Amino acid sequence: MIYGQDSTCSLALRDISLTISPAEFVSIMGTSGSGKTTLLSLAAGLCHPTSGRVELLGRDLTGLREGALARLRRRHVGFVFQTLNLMPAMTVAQNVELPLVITGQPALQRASRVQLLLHLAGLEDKAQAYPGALSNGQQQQVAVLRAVAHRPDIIFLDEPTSSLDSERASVLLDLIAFLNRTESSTVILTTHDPIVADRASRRLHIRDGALAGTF
Amino acid sequence: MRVISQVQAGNWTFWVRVAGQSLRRRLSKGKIMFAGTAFSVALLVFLQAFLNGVNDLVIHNAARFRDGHVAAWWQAKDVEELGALAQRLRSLPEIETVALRTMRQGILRHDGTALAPADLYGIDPASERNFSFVSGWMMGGRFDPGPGEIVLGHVVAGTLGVTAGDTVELLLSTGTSTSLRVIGILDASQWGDPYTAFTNFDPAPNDTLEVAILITSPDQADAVASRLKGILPESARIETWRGLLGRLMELVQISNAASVLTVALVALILAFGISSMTFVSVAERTREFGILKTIGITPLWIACLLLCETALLIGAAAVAGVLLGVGAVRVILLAGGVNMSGLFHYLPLFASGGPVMPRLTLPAMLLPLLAALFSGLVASLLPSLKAARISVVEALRTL
Repeated sequence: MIYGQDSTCSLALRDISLTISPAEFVSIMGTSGSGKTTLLSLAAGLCHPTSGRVELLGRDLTGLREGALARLRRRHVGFVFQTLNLMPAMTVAQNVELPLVITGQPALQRASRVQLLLHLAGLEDKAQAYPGALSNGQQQQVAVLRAVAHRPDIIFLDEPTSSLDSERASVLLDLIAFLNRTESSTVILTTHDPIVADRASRRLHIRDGALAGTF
Repeated sequence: MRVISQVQAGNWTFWVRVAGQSLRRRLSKGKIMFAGTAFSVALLVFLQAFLNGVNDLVIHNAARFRDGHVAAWWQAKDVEELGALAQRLRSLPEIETVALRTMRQGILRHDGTALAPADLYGIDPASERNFSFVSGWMMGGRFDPGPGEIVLGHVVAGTLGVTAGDTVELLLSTGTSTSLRVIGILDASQWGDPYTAFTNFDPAPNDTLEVAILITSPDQADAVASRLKGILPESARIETWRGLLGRLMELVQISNAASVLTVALVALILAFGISSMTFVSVAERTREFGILKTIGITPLWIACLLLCETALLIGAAAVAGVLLGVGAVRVILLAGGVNMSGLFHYLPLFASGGPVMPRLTLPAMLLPLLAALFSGLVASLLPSLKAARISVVEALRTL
């Protein structure tokens, strides 16, 4: 994967060949600039590779237009970013409800699913609050709930704990692991923290745009 | 359509609620657009109503020169029923006042030698004073001809060489002759007939009868003409001001076209403002759009969301503007209108009297509202498409 053009171009990823099985919990560890986010973006269909192929749930993403990719992500993918995940104009409940609205769930089903998830994270009393009123840890929890609300096949998390202290990071990881077990979603998480990486059942290491090994 | 089915599937109430929350959140920036739109719409509503009032006044004054908003002519057969006819007409709610006239032609003779043709209008002076401006065109003497009296147009008076106080002899086609005392001389050019003379209303069989009607609103002329068909004899010829004042009708149409042009111009200026503010908003919300795309919202859907937000904001502002404009019109009406005769004293159609009373109509309120909404949507189209085309990866790099 190459970013930029001519003299400003940089090689973000090279010679990546990776297969992830359903319901796996995979962590990808690497330093800043190692290509973790780019790998995640490619896998989630947020961008196209400069060369090569990406298959998501058996479907070749190469050549798919943006609309088709969006529809694929809508049904099958959840994504959590490092920070600033939530829609600031929506309440906590609306943020969690968003993927259910997009996939056309009836209002009653949406309401009960949102209530269940907020209860799971202990955030029922924050349902009508706006993201600005939540702590970083709570915001990330809501982001995770939103990512799993529509029961996606696969969840991508890009350094979800990097802005959290160890205690809150642990709470968040417990939630992610719980959802991986109960919802059977594949979880792919990137981090530079070995403690976070250790929570996964399979740990990959990326360095200078290439996979350095499994551990 | 795919987008509509997606919105239906996604429950449009959720999106409308979120659009409202988003607007509330961006209140400080949104209120400039809101205030600008509301003020523009209010101005346009008031302007439209004011122009309606100007048109009404000009048409009303022009109608008072002679034939009214609606006029009808027919050959007299049963003159006994004319009184009842006048009463019946005056009882109609759209009618402000009615003038009944007789018309006949004759020859006037003075001193046995001077002869002049005359178009004789038989009038009720009191009704005529209420109806037309004719009583204000006297060059000498008085206007109210009683039995045996006549008011001459200046051309006829000049031809006969008579002044107020002289006596003339009226010769009719029936062979009768009557002696009449001249009580006044009138500037007949305003009436539009140089051979004008006014006598007392005294209808006779075979006279041409004229009923001239002033109505409260010129828009009702066709409706009144229609009702007259059921009241007057079948042979009556009925005309409205649109035919009687053809030139004025053209001016009114030009005025209406100018006001539509003004609406379009203001809408265009509004569009520039809305467009630039929406572009700024898109730039500030780049990451939000990136997140929405990640979740699975298609580019077209993002464009629709932004358009929905704009429609809500501009729609609310336009409604507020209409209410503001209506309020301004009410205030002017309560104050008794706007007197423009001082400003346009050289224009008889203004100076003749009456303030301008702004008149609200459905088009006057709807046109600015729809123009604001349309220009808002068109103006936010480009920024919406820009938001739709935002690269997800680039958007997510934005903080």
